[in-house]
Amino acid sequence: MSQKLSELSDAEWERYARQIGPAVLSREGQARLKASAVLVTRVGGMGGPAAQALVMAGVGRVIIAHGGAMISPDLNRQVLGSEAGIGRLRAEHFAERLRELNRFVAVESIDHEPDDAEADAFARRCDLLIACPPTFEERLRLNRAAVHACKPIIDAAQWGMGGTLIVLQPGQTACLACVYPEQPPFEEFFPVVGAISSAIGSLAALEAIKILAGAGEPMLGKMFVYDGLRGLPSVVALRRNPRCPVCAGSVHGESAASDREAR
Amino acid sequence: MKIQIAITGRGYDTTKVPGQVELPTGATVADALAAALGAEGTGQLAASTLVIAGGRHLGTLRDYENAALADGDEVMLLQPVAGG
Repeated sequence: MSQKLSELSDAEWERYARQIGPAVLSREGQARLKASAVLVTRVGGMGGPAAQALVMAGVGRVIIAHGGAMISPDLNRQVLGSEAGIGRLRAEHFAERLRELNRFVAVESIDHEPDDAEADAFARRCDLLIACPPTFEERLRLNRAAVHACKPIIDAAQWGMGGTLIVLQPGQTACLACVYPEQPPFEEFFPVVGAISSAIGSLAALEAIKILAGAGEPMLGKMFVYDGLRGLPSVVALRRNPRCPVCAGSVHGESAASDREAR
Repeated sequence: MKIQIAITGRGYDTTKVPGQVELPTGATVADALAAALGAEGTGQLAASTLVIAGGRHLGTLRDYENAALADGDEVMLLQPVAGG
């Protein structure tokens, strides 16, 4: 986030009028959103609704990463997709859809999943990361980048009719490697109902908005678990591993401050 | 004391556990898991499965804090999910 808060035009204040006031965002919070950049990878079942909500809320720059071309089975959950988009590159198609939602927001797209170096570079550029990939390898890579840059990261995940949402601030809370010290099994053709994807993705965006705007009480260091099959929510306090190979010794604020100065 | 048992996350539909087990006072998470999972024990679950008790994350099945339980606590096993 830039040190000097962005100014909003009259048209922007009009756009966001319903989300500024008691119980929602302050004007300063809205300006903070405009000054913010968020990386969302990937932008399918959960990342799509998350990116959509961030763009509609007025986050200044939303960067999406997603490889490959759209296929028909994507459309049971990927809200940024469309029948006309089948066969097109997902990132390009999704970015077009997002730009149609809000002319005041810059949307960047990357047509592949970031590697280690790219993840680190994006984490330095962005104020927050939202991880929605199907593999733990990618999730843990984004977590490492978030820890290196000391930027908050939100991990959204789903399976069947359930899902989990993890909100982390490196140096202050556990990191994803504290929670998943070894990669859990990967399942390529996971079952999923799109309604849970959208629910978890939207909650990821809400937590991001709260963190960026300084509103409410973000679920830092917690995991929200929703067992949709039985309609049961749970909130779990996550413990930090003092021997974590990724985050042990990290202190909140150090890298983030130096990144702001470098931008 | 009565301890609630829940399993969620990946494969929640295929791993069956009793909703509740009865344990003596002073029992721990390991006691609850042994009572809930029976002869097969935790071997039927991935080592990366998260162990949660009373709303606290205690680690994974490979390495968790074997905390003492109180009457009414819930022990949750969460098989990690990713999706996309």
